Amino acid sequence: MKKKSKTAIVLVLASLAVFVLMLVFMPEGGLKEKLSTSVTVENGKASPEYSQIVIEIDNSGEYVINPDWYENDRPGFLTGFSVLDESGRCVYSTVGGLLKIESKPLELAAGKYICRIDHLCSADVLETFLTMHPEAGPIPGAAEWFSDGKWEMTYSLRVFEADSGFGDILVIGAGVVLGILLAALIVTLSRDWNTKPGKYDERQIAEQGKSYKLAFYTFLACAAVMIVISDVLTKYVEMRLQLFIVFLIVAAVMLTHSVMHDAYFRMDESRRFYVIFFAFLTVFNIGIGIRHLIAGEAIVDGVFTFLGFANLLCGVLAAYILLLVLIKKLRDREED
Amino acid sequence: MKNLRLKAARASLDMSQQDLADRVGVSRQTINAIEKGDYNPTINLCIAICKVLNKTLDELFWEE
Repeated sequence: MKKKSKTAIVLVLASLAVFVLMLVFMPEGGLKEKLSTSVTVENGKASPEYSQIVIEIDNSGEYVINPDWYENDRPGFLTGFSVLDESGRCVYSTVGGLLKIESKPLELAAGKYICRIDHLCSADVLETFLTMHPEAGPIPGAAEWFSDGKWEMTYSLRVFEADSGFGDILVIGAGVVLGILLAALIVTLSRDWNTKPGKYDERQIAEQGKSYKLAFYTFLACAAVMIVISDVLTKYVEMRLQLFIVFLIVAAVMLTHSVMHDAYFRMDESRRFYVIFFAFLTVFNIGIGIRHLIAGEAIVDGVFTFLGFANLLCGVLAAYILLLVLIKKLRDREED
Repeated sequence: MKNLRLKAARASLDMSQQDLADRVGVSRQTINAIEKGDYNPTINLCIAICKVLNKTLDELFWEE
């Protein structure tokens, strides 16, 4: 076995070991509660009017509250979420249609807390809630939510300590390690280590330089366009999605030039492996993207969301690369 | 400009583009690009090609 091959295997095994260790030492994710309830709205009245979960905090400290009712179908009411301490004082409140939100760190004393979920099925009920919890509003376009019907709702709630951030670092670290692991696996699987040297030749390096130059000019052009239209575009497309589209355009330009000038794959790399890999990426991302579209997460309040379109666009880019590779392969065959 | 002398020298030794590419350590597409005149190789690559084909730099790459 060649030295490079051994290095790749050691890298993969070491990454795997670090990843497993991170999972083992990952701290508990705090308090988790789930509530499922059936809500009926008839003539602007909800039944039940509210539901509640009681949680118990063992130690005083800073906590983050993370309510989530994102996975439900769009109900005919808004949901008001409030956390009350034992004396009835509200420590946190928020309102949303379909919501996944994280509170700022809150100072909570040890004791019991009532997490109340109000089913706000009319403008009057919403106004009453917002009068009691002004920090939760206002809610633009609230009237569009109110309709009669019956919905099975599942609310989940996570309460976790906010002080250390250790868990976040571990999660990010685990993500990075997983990425390295995946990259090492892809490199190992895509190379024919025994037959050819694993490098780009001088023409490929020169072509890559041209690709980066083209990508740089494309980026400048996109940035100039963004400066002009970003204000207007933000009303319809989330800023994160705008930046992501720019990133994908730049990547597509670079990839187009690299692939069409044989500068994308190393001399020893298996194109068949990459065709399978990109086909998998296409199906995987477009599948998730369609799921987001069906769930109605792609357009929220008339705005195209990053969450709704990120996977779909990644899938389109992967399909585009796949198409480029296949076109190049056909061209090469004609040349031969 | 097409480098027909390189193509002829390679063909005379009954070598394919891939064979020559493997011998000089570049991709087949690079040899193809040199023969088509799409790419100007560095002096190092020119020398490597000359050695494999038993030709001089003048014979393969000098343009009158």
